[in-house]
Order: sequence, then structure tokens, then C-alpha cells
Amino acid sequence: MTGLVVTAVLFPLAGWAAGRRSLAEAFLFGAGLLGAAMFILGVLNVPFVVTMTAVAVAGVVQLVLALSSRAEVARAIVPARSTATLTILTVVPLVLLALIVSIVPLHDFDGRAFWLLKAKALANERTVDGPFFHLRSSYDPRNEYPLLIPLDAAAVMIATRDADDPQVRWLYLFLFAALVVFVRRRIGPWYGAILAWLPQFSFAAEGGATSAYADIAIAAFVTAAVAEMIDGESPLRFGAWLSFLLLTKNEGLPIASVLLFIGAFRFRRRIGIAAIAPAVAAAALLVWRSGIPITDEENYAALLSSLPSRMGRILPAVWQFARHLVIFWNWGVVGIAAVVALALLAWRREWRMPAIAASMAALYIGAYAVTNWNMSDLVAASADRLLMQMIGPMLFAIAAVIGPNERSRYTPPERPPTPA
Amino acid sequence: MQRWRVAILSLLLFSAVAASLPRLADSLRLAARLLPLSLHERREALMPEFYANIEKLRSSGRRPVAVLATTRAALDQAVFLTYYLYPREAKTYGTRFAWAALDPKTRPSLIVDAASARVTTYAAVRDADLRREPLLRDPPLPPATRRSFAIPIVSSNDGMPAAAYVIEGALAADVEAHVTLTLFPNGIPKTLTVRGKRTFYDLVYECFGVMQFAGWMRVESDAPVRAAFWLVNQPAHVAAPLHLVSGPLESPAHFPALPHPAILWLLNLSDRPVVGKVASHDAPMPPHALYSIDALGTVGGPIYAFITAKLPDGNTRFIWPEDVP
Repeated sequence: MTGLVVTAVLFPLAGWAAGRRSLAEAFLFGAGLLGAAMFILGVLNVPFVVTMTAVAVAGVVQLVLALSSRAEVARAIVPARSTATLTILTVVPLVLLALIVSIVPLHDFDGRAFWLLKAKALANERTVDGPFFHLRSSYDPRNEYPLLIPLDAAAVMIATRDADDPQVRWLYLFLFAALVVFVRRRIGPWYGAILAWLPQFSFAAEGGATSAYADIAIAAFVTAAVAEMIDGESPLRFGAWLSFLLLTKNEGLPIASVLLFIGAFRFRRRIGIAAIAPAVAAAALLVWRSGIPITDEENYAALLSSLPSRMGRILPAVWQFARHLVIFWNWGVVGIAAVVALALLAWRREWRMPAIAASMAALYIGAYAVTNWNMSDLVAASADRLLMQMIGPMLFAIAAVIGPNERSRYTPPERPPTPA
Repeated sequence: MQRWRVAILSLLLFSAVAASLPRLADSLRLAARLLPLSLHERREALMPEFYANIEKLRSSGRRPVAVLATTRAALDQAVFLTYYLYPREAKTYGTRFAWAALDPKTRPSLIVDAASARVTTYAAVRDADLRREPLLRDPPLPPATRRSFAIPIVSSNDGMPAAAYVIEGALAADVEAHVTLTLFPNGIPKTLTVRGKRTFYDLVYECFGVMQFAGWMRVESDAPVRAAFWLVNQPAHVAAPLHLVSGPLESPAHFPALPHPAILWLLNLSDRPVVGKVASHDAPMPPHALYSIDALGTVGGPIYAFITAKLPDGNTRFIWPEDVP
């Protein structure tokens, strides 16, 4: 219960520290901001507790300031117009997930093997450079994985003074719930309900909201970055989402690079502002990685040079990856609808969503083509989770095709861009 | 909103709900089953035995743990074991040799089997490794039968990584035979019932539960048996056949004088002290003794003798009395 309260309070507060936003967006932004701040300042040896306190205090100050201008806050947190049925349909799976998370202990693979083991070490050693990450106390598989989400979990463990996983289960559920609400507000209530029920996000044992994987966080940060790109208002916020991406998972860096490139067409000269936060995050990640041993993860940057000799694996990789989109028990028919919508948008020469989706898919397929693992095994183990990361562009694309009501949320507001 | 749009969105939502239902039902059933239990009991229900063993380990103090994970599946379990034990120091080793090669003063001495999370011994982990991959799956047996003989050297021991010496082989009897094996120099007996063919992947550890650098074995049976044994270096995938011995040398064996590392082995098969002869020296030997000395030359007296030399491929070259003029 302590973990639930800490999670419900700490991350929205952290999100509000960087400005006023809805509760769901504040939670997502707070998860990104707190983890990124703990990591970047952690590389500079600033104690976690100092960073956590500073971010929380800034959040409280911002919240008080926001409450003093009640009208604007009210506008920010009014939910999107929707039917009661859709609201109920959105809430039901989230409530059921909360029930399951509160009873069934964590029993996933990556969550325990990689992410939460790191979180425990971070909470115990209170540093990103302790004996654990130098493999002196325990074996840490995937030692060089980015630490944003483990740092969020460590923050909950530190705040609750309990490093056992029941305290941090709510972080993963709330990340999903916040993504659902964010999608509901930014794309439409139908899409929030659809996402809430998508099995790969909700009830999948590996990667879903009951597990402790980082893919829902990546999906949320991609969705928020794409929404920010559509709005075109704040390159700084856009850059912040990208920096969260690259500090969350290895694939975050190439995805952030792709989004930054596509975002340049939207932000034009202001893209330089957007690049600041990702550059700082990437530098911190590089510095940290240069000081710790690399364990058993493939070096895809080095493997990339072998791509010309492995071109024959591209088509099989595309085929095997695409097959996961039509697995009904993971995606319903949403994957198929997304492909059709992306194709229609491309046909209409509305390139942004097709370009984002195609670029992300190309990254994954390139990785499959050059991997030294058995490609089929790797696709089987990872494709559905990588597809989760594309859910934002997929839903934006469906909304863009389906109609004017939804498209009004998809298109940017009609006002001139303002400086960040 | 136009009807066709509502229809499409309803279809998408319905498909997501329908696809979720089986896993949702499973999850709810699991939650209902676990609801009355405590957190630890719930984990035990999800990870039968494994988590209970982890709880035992947790309550066993804070000594660093060596997690031996010698299979792919065990390596996965090792990660979970590390997860639940953290912050207790737990180092994972992918082979038993990786642990054995470390300085005994600094390596973790408490060994845990990753697959079961049970505290175990190096010998037990070694046994599980060897059991999985015997070199001689169906060892050929000679047609001749015997009731009593000795295996002049037996071993169950790991050498410099990666070397692991075992005695592989087989006993076979057409009728039920009660075979007594006696492991020397300690004289530990073990009686087996053999009917048909019985193979051994590590004769000493299988029958006596001990690792031993070098010993010998007396074999006595109440019915004729056929037998053949090999000294196997398991990681090197090499095997050297062993001569089965009926008694001491009948006449002096003119072994060559060989430099180190060739070793001359002297064996007193009898129950009383004897004095053998090596080159021009007397070699007094207590009952059942097996000695190793430099290969000085001819051996005589009421003892048995043979020479061993390590080959570059990890195998062992034997020179038996029958091999020399």
C-alpha cells in the first residue's frame, strides 16, 4: 500500500515540477524526468535522495502555483468528451489489472532478471556506479542497459524503505494507465478503451502491465513525443521525451534519433533546442557505460557493418516480424487496422506517421538481420514487445484515417508556435 | 460520429476485449487461488520448491554464495536466484571449472545449485554434469567372464581446468549376480545386483559417493560377469582402456626407465604387507597400497605395476606388464 501511495504521488509531482499538465501526462513526464535526473546527476555523483527531494519540492511549488490560477488548471485536467460506456470500458481492465497486481506476485522474466535486479541494486547502493554495476557483488546480466525505469523503481524502494517488488508493481501499472488516459485525451476515448484492453499491453505475462518490463514506458514516451511533434509547440518538451526514450532502453537511442530527424520537419530551426536534452542524456549514458563492464548484450552498432552481407535475412525478418501484428490473441485486429491506416496515409501523402512507423520497424528489422542470435528465436521473443513501442503512431494513424472527429485531436492546434 | 466509423471502432474494441478474455480469465483464476495466501506462500505456489529453497537460503545467514549454473535453463534460474537473494552476494558460474579455478581462500564456499536453489556440494554438481554426458554410452564388453578381478586404478577427480577423470564402463551378467566392489585404499565395500548390462558414467562416485584422486577397486561376484572399464577424461572426450587384473606379477616386468611426468604405479593387491622390487631398490608396501613413483625400470616381487603418462590430447597412455617383453 505504501508503494501505491508513493507511486501515485511522487511521479505526478515530478511531472508537475516541469510545468502544468494533466495528471496522466504528469505521471509519464514525472517518470521520465525523475529517472533521467537521477541518472544524469547520479553520473555526477549527486545522491539520489537529493535529486528526489529537489524534484518533489519543485513539483509541490509548481502545483501550488497552478492551483492559484484555478481556471487554467481546470482546463488542463478536464477529461476528453466521451460516453459513459467508453469510460467504463476503459476503467474496467485497469481495475482488474490493479486487482491482479495486488495479489499475484511478479513472475515475469526480464522484469526480475534485468530491470528490478538493477533497481534493487540502485536502491541498496544509492549510486549508478557501485559494486553491483562493476559485477563485484552479483552477476548483472545486460549490465549496460539504460537505468531510467530501474531508477524510478529504486526511488519507490528508497521512499518506502522496502526493496521487495510488491512496492514497485504499481509503477508499471500506473505507467500503462497513464498511457491509456494520455491516448484517450490526445487521440480519443475509443482509442483509450482499445488500448486498455489490448492483451499485449494489459494481460500479457511478458511485457504487459502486470510485468516489470520497460516496453510500456517506451511506448508511452514515443506516444508523447509524437503528440508533442504534432502540436509543434515546445521543442524543449519534445526533446525531453526523446531523452527519456534513450535512457529507458537500448533501442531508445535509435528511436529518438529517428524521431528527432522527423521532428526537424515540424520544428524546423527550433529542432536544435529539441536536441539539447537528448544530447545531455546520451553523453551521460556514454560516460556511464565507459566506466562499467559490458556483459552479454549484442553490440548492434558493431554488427551494423555486417548488414550488407546479411541482406538475405531482411525479407525473412520482415515476414516474421509482420506476422506478429496479426496474432489475434495479442493484438485483436488492431495491428491489421494500423497497417491499413498507415498504408492509406502514405497513399494520401500524409507521411509523418507512416515515416515514424516504418523507421521504427526498419530499426527492429535491421537488428534482426544482423543479430548473432537465432533470428527466429529473437523475433519470437521480442517482436510483440517492439510492436508495443509503436502503439502511439499506430493509433494516431488509425485516428487520422477514421474521421474528422478524431482527426481534430490528431492535427495540431491552430495557433502559432510559442517558444519553449 | 458516422455509423461506419463507430462500427470500425467497435470492431477494434471488441477484438481487443475478445482477445484479452482468455488471459484475463487465467489471471483472475490465479489471483483467486492465491488470495488467501501470504506473499511468500504465493511465490511458493508460483515457483514450487524453488522459492521455498530460496527462503531457506535467505535465513541461512549472509555468507557469499556461489551459484553453479551448468545448463542453459539453470543459468536462467540463477538470475532469479540472484534476484531474490539480493543484496546477499551471489556470484554465478557457468561451469564448475570456473569456480574450481578460483583461489580457494577468496571464492565463495557456499555452493548453491541454480536449478533448484538448494545448497549443494561441488561433487554433486560434478556428478550431475557427468551424468548428462557420458563419453561411452554403450561400452563394448569382452566375451570372457570373470568372478574376481581388480581394476588397478580408479579415479573420480577434476584436474587442472578443464580436466575431469572418471571411470566409465560396464558389468554384465546373464544371470543375477551379486557383485561386491571394494574401494581401496580405504576398503569401502558396496554390493550391486547385476542382471543384464549395467553401465557406469563415474564408477567411484556412483557407487561410493566420494571423489577420489587415485585408488583401486577389487571386484568379486557370485556369478560370472563380463566387465570392461576405461579411464575417461570427460571434457577432453578421450578414454583409455584399463586392464583388469587377476593377481600380482608372475615374473619381473621390464618397464623402461622414463623421465617425469611418466609415473610408475605399484599396487599391493593382497591383505598383507609385501616387498616389491623396482630396478635395484626394495619397495615395501602395506596391504592394499597403491603408490606412484618415478618410472625407474624393471619391477618384480608380489605386486602389480603399470606406467601412466599424460598425452597432449588429455588422454592417458598406459604401459601394462603385458606390453613389455
